Amino acid sequence: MAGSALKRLMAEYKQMTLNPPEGIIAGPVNEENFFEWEALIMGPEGTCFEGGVFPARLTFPPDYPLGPPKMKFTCDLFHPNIYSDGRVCISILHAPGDDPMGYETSAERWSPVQSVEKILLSVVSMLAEPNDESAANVDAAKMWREERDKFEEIAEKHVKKSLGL
Amino acid sequence: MVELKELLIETRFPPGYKFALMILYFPIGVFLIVCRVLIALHTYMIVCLLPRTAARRQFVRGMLGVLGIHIWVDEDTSPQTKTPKLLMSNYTSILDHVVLDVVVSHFVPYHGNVPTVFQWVLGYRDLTTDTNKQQFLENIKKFVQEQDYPVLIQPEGVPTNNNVGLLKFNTQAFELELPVQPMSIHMSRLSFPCALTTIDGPKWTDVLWCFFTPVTVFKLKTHPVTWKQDNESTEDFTERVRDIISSSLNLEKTDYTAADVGEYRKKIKTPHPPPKPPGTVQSTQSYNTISSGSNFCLDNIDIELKKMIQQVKDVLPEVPITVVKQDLELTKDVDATISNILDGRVVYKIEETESQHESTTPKTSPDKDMTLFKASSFPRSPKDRHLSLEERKTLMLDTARLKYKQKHGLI
Repeated sequence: MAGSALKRLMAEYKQMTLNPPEGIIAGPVNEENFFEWEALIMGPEGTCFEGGVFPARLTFPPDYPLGPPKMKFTCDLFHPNIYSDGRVCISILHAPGDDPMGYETSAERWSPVQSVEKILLSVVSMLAEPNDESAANVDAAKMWREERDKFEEIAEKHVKKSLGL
Repeated sequence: MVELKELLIETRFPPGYKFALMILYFPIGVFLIVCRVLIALHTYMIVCLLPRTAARRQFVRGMLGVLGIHIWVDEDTSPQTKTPKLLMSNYTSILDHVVLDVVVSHFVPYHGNVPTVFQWVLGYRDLTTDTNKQQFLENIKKFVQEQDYPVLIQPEGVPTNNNVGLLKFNTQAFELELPVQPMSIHMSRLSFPCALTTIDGPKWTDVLWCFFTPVTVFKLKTHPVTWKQDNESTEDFTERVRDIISSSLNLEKTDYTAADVGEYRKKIKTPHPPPKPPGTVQSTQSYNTISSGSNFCLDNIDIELKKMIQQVKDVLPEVPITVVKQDLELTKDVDATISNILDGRVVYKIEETESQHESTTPKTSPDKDMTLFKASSFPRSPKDRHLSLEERKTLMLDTARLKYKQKHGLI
């Protein structure tokens, strides 16, 4: 199955190269290993992450696209749906079967119909609209809810840091 | 070796002559349901008024008897060295919690599907405020420290028929290192042929079928409290608790997990996908992509080809099924067909999938060129491709930096 995973990843790489969504770049870290990608995501306009360029790692399983990839931001990002170590927590990255406790009722789960592009677009909209009901970073969720000013201040700091300024 | 399907029941009623008997019984059953629902409502209201004491437990036990749920308890009488903070039991149905509550008053972490009216009296506690598992464990820990009541965890995750085997336990709650009281539940309906719980179907219907059945007997057994030894890993401890429960119920320990059950459920649902009107748009949620397609019937192709089509569709879901089939008939090889499609040797019109792009895309920026970093071509050589990727990355960073500086008046 690794052969078809490679082919599918190549097809997605081509798609992301020739026709990427706005503010998103993604591709393999190096061509020797197609299962490890780097993505650059621009903070969506009109949000507190505007102007930032956030790097993330995508790690694909050998059975991709049957299994979802893992995604982890490699920069500092203080956000309700991102763990403090950078891991991204959104429903599209979870296979339908791997949530035995039933936390997620959301309909949008991983299936082979999804793609890197859709994941990254979901991440962009997650940046724009944090979901503080299923928080990965409780402190961030709390601050987002209660002290928006402080949250925006931290976001601004991370935007600046992500640009290396 | 126990097979997964032996652990699960697909249909509530058995086929054959027993089913005919069931039809005869049906009016009586419906009468019982009506009576018992009324009684249950009244009981519920009374229980709301009673404090959480032994008397309330006795009352509930008596009323459950009237509702057809009989509880036989085989209590462990050895002196307890520690008060249990966690109850661990096998999972037979949604009723487990209510039944176990008769023996030991406890709470259950909220599962997201319990109506609010039932939550506080039945002892559901919302400890799962987020998807963060670490936080969930901390919530439990805090809760059992503050309250005198233990929390019930059913580490199997999904109910099984408890006749042949136990699923693998989820080790998550065992990490807490709290004293654990293993409990085993065995359910029987004597010889009445109606399954307590089925693999799919809403869980609350289990309760209705309990009312329908003359009697349902729950045999409960409590085991001595145990806890994690110093030199024991979480996995070993989990396995030890599983041993206790499986040996008391005479069940085999299987290697299946809740996720396997979920997969199996999907599998038994997919062989007969509901017929779709021609031309319907394929839903992203339907796992079985093979059922979609434009006016195309797959019933009369052999299974081998069907499997190959599915494999191709898994990799390239947007390619119409007719195209895949045509090419597969020529190549007889999944990989060759995938290459043919990817390299553009097979021409097709993209199948429409649910267009979520629009909804998820954030506001379009005024100057598209500033945020769109696309390459004009996709070079064949890996080196050139990589160079182009790196170039675009640098360009994005530079653009962003410039914009940032302009905005903040740094230049």
